[in-house]
Amino acid sequence: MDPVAGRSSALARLPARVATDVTTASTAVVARERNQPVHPVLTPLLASGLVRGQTVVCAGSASVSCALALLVAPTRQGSWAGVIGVPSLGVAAAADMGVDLDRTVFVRGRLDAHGDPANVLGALVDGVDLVVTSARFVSSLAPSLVRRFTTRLQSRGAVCIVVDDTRAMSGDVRISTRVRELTGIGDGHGHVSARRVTLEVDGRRHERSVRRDVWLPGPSGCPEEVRDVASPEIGLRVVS
Amino acid sequence: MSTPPRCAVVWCPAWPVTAAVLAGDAARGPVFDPSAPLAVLHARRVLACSAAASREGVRVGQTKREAQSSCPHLVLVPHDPDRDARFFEPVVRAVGELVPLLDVESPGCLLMATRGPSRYVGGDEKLAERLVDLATRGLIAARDVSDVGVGIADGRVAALLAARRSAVLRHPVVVPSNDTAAFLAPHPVSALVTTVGADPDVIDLLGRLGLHTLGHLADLTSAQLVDRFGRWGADVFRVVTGADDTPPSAVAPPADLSSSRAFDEPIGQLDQAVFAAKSMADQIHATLTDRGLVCTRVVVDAESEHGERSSRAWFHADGLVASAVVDRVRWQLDGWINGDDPPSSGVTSLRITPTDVREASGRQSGFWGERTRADDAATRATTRLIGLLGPDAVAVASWRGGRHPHDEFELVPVTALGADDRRRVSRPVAPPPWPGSLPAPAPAIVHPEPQPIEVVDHDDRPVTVSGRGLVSASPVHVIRDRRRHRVVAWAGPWPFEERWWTPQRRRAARFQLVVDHDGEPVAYLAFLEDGRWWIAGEYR
Repeated sequence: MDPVAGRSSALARLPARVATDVTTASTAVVARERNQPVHPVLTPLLASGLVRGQTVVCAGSASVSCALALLVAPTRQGSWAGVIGVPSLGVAAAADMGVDLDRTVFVRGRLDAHGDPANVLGALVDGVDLVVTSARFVSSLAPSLVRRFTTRLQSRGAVCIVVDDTRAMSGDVRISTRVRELTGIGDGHGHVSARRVTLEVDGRRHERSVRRDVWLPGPSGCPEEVRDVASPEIGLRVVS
Repeated sequence: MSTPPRCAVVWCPAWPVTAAVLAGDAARGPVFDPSAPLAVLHARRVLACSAAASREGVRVGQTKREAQSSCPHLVLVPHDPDRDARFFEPVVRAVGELVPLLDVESPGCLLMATRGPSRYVGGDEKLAERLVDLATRGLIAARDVSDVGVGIADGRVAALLAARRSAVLRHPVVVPSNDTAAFLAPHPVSALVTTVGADPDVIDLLGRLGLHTLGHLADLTSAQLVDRFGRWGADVFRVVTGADDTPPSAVAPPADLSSSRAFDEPIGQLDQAVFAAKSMADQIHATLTDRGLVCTRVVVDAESEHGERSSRAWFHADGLVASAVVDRVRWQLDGWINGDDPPSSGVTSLRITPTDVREASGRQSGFWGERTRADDAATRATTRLIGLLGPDAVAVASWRGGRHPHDEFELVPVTALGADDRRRVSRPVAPPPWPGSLPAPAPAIVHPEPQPIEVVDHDDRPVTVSGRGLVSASPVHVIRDRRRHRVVAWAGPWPFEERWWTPQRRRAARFQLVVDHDGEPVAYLAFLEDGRWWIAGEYR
C-alpha cells in the first residue's frame, strides 16, 4: 500500500476516535457524580440529593443550620466546600453538625481589593464542589458577575448554597425554615439543647413543595429525625 | 547492602528561639532576654524553647496552655520561618568556607557528606572540631544563646542523632563506621518523628506493641516490619540497622527538570522573585508528578546583575512539593537580599534544579494527607486564591479548644500550614471537656465583632448581674437595632473570668436568651460585660 495514503487514512480515522473518547469519558463522569448526597434526615425532602450546578437557597430563621446540614454528607464523602462571604459562620456549630472541616476552606478578605472579583469566584468554583455564601454577599456583586458565577457553577457542576433570600440570585431549590420550638431552656434555667424546625422545600422543578419537621440540631448537635411530637430523648435535664 | 554515606550534621538546638533573640539584637524584632524562659509557638504548640524554659518544665510539642501552666512567666514568640532562615545564613556561610556542598535540612540544621572534607582536614575527629569552630564563628552574635552540636556517623539519621547528643554533651560525637546500629539502639522510637518524619500515631502504636527503642525495632526482621507497616517499615528497618536511609530506588534526576528564568529588569523585591519561583516550582512539580517522582533535594541558584551568586541545596526526606520549594526560595533570597552581605544589584536570574528525586512512594502528602482528584482540585484552587487575594485569604479551621464558640476553632491561613504539616485540623474524636464551656449545640452564627443590644426587665430597667453572680431581675425584652423583642426563655448567668492575673482581665456573664422574632423563637448567646450587653452568637 502507498505509505502516504495509509497515513492519511489513519489520520482521517483519528478525530472520530478522539471524539468518541471524550463523549464516553464525560458521560461517565456525569452518570457517576451527578448529584451530591444529603444527610439521611434530609433525604425525604431532597430525594435526589443536591443536583450539581444548582443553587439552593436556605431561608428563614434556621437558615445557617440548614446550610450546614447540607454540607455534612458531601464533605464526608470527599467533596470540598468553600465558604465565601459568610464571616459569621460558626465553625464549632459546623463541627457539631458533622461537617468535615478537613475539606472546608474559608475565603476571607475583600474581593475587590485585589483585581477582578470574577477571577476569585471562578477560582473557587473550579476547586470546590460546594460553595457556601450569603445573601448579603451575593447582593453586593454586580448582576453580570452573578450571572457569570451561576454559569460557571453549572459548567463546573458545583452546588451553591446561599444563606437567606436574595433577589440577586434565584435559587433552583428553596428550603425555608421555621423554628417550632427550642427545648432544654426555661425561665432562667437549663440551656438550649435542641431545636425543632419545619423545613419546606420547593423549587422550579418541584410540582409541589415537601414539608417535614426535623431536629436541627438535635441534642447530639447534628440533624435528627423527629420521631414523635414530644421532645427528643435528653440524657440529663437541668431542672433548676 | 550498600554502605550508607558518611554524613556530618551541624545542629543548633532550639534554633527558632535563637533566631528570635538574634532578630531582637539586630533591632529587627522585639528584644528578648536569652536567659529568660522563651518559647516559639507554631500552630498553638511549642516548636522550640530556651534552656530556661525547659528547666521550668516546658516541652516541645506542648500546647500553649500546657506550657503556660508549667511556666506562667513564659515569654511566647510567634514562629517565623523566614526569620529562622535569615539568621541561620551566617552559619551556613561560615561552614560553607570549609565544605562547599551543604544541605540545609532546615534552619538550624546542616547536613553534609564527609568524604572529601574529612580527607582534607585529616579525619572525622578533626573535621568535627573544625565544624564546631566554624559554626561557632558563624554564631558569634549569638554566643550566649546557642550551643552547637556536631555529629558524624554513617547515614543521615545516625548523624542527626549524634549531633543532638553532641549538643547535650557539649563536645562533638563521632560514631565509628561499624557502630551505627549499636549507637542507634538505645534511642527511643520517638526519635523517628524528627529524623524521618514518622507519624506520631505510628510511634504511639510502636510503644503499645512494646517497641520502645530503635534497638527493639532492629531486633525484628525486615519482613515483620514490612508486614505491619508496608514500605515505611522497610525504610525504618534500614535506618535502625544502620543501613542507608535513602530508599534504594533513588534515581538520577532527568536533565530536563531544572527550571530557570532570566529577568530583563533586575528584581530588587523579594516578592517578585518569589512570584516567579512559584510558577517555576509548579512546572517542576507537574513534570515530576507526571513521571511519578518526588524530589527530595533542590538546588536554588540566584544571580545578581553584577554576577554575585547565591546557591544553596535544600533537602527534605519526605519530598518537597511546589509550595515547599517556593518557601525555600523565599528563605534563601530573604537571607541573601536582606542579609549582612546583600548583592549590589537586583536579581537577574533564578534557577531551581531538583538534584535528588525518587519514585513517589505515596508518602508525600499535600496539605491534608491522602489525595484524591477533588483534593488536588481544591489545592490548586487554594493556591490560585492565595495568589489573587493574598497569603491570609484562604483559611482552614483548626481545633484548639476554648470556652467560647469563637475560641474553639481557629481559622488558620493555609499558607501557615507547611505542606508537610501533619497536624490535625478537625476536632479530636472525643474532645476533652473544656472547663467553663457551654454545652452543645454551638451557635451557627458567631459574630466576628459582638453586636450591642439592650436587655431590660419588667420595668424597662437594664438587667444587671451582681458581684456574686445574681441577676437583678428576669430579662423581659431585648432591644436590638431599635426593635423590641419579647424574651420567651432565658438561662444564665454563666460567669467567666479571663486573665485575672493581668491588666487585660475580663469578667463577664454569659446568657442564652430566646426571643420572639415574629412568632418564632430565636436563641441568642449574649454576654454582659461592664454593664453592657452584647450578642456573641445566634442559634440560626
